[in-house]
Amino acid sequence: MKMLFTCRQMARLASEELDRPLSFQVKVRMFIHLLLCRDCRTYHDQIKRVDQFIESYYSTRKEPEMSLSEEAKARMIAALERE
Amino acid sequence: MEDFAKTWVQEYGDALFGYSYSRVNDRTVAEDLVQDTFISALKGYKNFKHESSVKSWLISILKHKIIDHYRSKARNVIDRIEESDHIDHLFNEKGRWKNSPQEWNDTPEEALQHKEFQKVLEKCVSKLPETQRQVFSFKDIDHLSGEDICKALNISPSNMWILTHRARHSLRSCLSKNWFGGAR
Repeated sequence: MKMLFTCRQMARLASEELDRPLSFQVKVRMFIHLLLCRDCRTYHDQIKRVDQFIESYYSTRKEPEMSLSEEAKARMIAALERE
Repeated sequence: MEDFAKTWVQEYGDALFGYSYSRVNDRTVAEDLVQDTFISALKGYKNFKHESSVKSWLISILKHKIIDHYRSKARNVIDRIEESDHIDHLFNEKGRWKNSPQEWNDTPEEALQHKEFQKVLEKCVSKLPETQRQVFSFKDIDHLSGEDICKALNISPSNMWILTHRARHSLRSCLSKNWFGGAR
């Protein structure tokens, strides 16, 4: 097994890390790669930020005030009547 | 038909529609899901124990309808996921970056304070494929765990990681282009 991950593997792990706990060994190998690779530091940091943006987008979003059209309501009532 | 079912449409139709639309982002699909919810509710009304309000009961039925809707969609998407990764082209044969990832000019904290950034973010999120968006809506609106999202969509954890990575990667590119690196 190679000690260092490739940048390609690191890109995937940057996201996977946000979805599940990684093993200690994987974390150490990632840490070493990040120390040595500026490109991966940039990508890794941006993926983490993106996740925060998505979270902030959904958590601040209000349920839209939506109305069914009268036609849609009539259609639903008709469908219920057929049942 | 029982008359009370008719009053459900008038009383709860809009609320259910808002709930549904915010999760599926499509008027027709959202309406169909609400209609299916009313029909299932009518059929199952005799089992309704009145332990919760009618509205919460209807919403819980709608939740299942939304999950079923996405489950069938996710199946199709997963069937089409190829093993080769969507980011392969960014790396050379040694697995190193062909071009350095573009640095971001503003800090994300600065960006979030801009109203225009919120618009760019919304536009970028809306461009994501439906199933990818749904994973994040389960995660960040409904607060489902990864395990529950996989169960709901009937996909494996590795399928889910592929979907979340695709979504994060696409959003990163979209934000880089339309905000952090690009002209605005």
